[in-house]
Amino acid sequence: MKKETKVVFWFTRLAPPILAFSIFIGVWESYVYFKDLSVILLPSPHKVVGEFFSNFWQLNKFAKNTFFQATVGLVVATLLSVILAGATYSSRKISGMLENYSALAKALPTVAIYPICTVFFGIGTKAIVAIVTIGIFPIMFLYVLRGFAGVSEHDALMESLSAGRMHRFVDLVLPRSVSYLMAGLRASAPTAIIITIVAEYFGGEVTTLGAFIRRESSNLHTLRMWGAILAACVLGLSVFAGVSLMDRYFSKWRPAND
Amino acid sequence: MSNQLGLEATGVSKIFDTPTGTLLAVDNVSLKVPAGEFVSVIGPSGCGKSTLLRMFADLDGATSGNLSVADLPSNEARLQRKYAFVFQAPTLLPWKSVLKNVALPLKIMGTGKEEREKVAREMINLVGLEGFENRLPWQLSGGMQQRVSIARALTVRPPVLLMDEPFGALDEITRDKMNQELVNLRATQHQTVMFITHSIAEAVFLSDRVVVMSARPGRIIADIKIDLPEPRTAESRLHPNFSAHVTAIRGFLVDAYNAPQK
Repeated sequence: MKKETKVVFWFTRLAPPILAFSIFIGVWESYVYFKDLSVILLPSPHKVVGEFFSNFWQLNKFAKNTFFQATVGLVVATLLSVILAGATYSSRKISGMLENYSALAKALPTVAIYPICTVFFGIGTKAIVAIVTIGIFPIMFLYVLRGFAGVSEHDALMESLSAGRMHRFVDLVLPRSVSYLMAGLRASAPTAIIITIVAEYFGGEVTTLGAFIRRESSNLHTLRMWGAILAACVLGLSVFAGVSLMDRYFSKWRPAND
Repeated sequence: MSNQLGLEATGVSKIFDTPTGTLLAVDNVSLKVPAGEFVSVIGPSGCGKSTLLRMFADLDGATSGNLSVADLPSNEARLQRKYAFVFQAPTLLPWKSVLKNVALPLKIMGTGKEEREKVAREMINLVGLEGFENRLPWQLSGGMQQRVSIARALTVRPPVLLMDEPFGALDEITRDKMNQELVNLRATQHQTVMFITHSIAEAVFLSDRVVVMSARPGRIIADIKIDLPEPRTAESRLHPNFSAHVTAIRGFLVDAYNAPQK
């Protein structure tokens, strides 16, 4: 039975994305080969991978800086979401206003206001953290608020125990919302990396992935640029995997098959 | 002590607002339960039994009438933690261990960690779950989870226990076992208990009195004193009075079910 489940898991969950990715790489490789494209125009995937490994330590250093800026922005946005949702979830009116703002802000291309951030914070880490916070807050807030506003029979239990607001929040509301918080982080973390790289592209420290991509692009070092793009993809996937592991850790009280 | 009242309802009614108009759920119920008595409330589905219990617990407000718990108005009794409520579902916090779930009421009351864990362990032993302190709720059977919720209710040693069909979701054998455990527990704890159930046999086995409610709107149509030898054991179910009480209550319930609902 267990073996069958593993086989089903392989065919339904793992095989389709691996197949789609392999087809994509195959088409790309064939296209470059048969069209005999110059490496300046579009390098083949195997050359990109080669460049990634040959320039690994430099890319690793830049990726660390990008990761740091994205993480700080993500943490600040998450803390703000928890604090604001925690302060307003019991007031439908105020939380509703913030919910509407967040829904609207989520639809806006926030990275476009990056130049305004640079006016206040200058070009560099502070401005990038600010734009990541502005971009991620609406996403996280909507998830966190949905979690905090949830109800269950446990609310009646807390009422019967005459629990104060702080006990209700710490012992019930916050842990009950962990799955929403984790879903929010799964959606936000890769977005935080994208916002960071785009912001770095428009004006960030020279030792970051976005700035490196811009520099190599304008110098027509296409292969080096693609190596950095691959590093950005690896960073995004690593962050997603990290959040998924966190989700597993914080959800260990759930049954394994839940 | 014997002159004190565990629970009292005087002229209590409850009207719910619904999208199609108002609904009279409980109609002019008056009831006195002396301290230390075990009263079961039985009646057709939707007759307002649980609503009455929740009004005693101040989880729902009465539209009219007065309710008191341990000689205090119900809202005051809730704030002073004079009762503990056992829900139909165990309502354990799934992220907390058995020990932490049982200790929760004491944590909320501000008791120190060492003291609350000591009391929680005592209660866990009392319901026969020693060795399961560090398990999570999903690792326990339904019966064990309900025992944890009873242990949690007992940690603050409340004078009154309000139990809303706590064994309703259990199978027959587990339910009988839990009934016996509740009888044994009560022999040492002596709380006033109001127990909501759909099972006539359970009500007769556990109670000093059984109150029968009519179909909606819920009114008290019978108040029967249960005359069974103490202590209650499995043999109590074979006593002639047991079947006589069951038959009498069944008669009232059949009438209640046949009466038209409003």
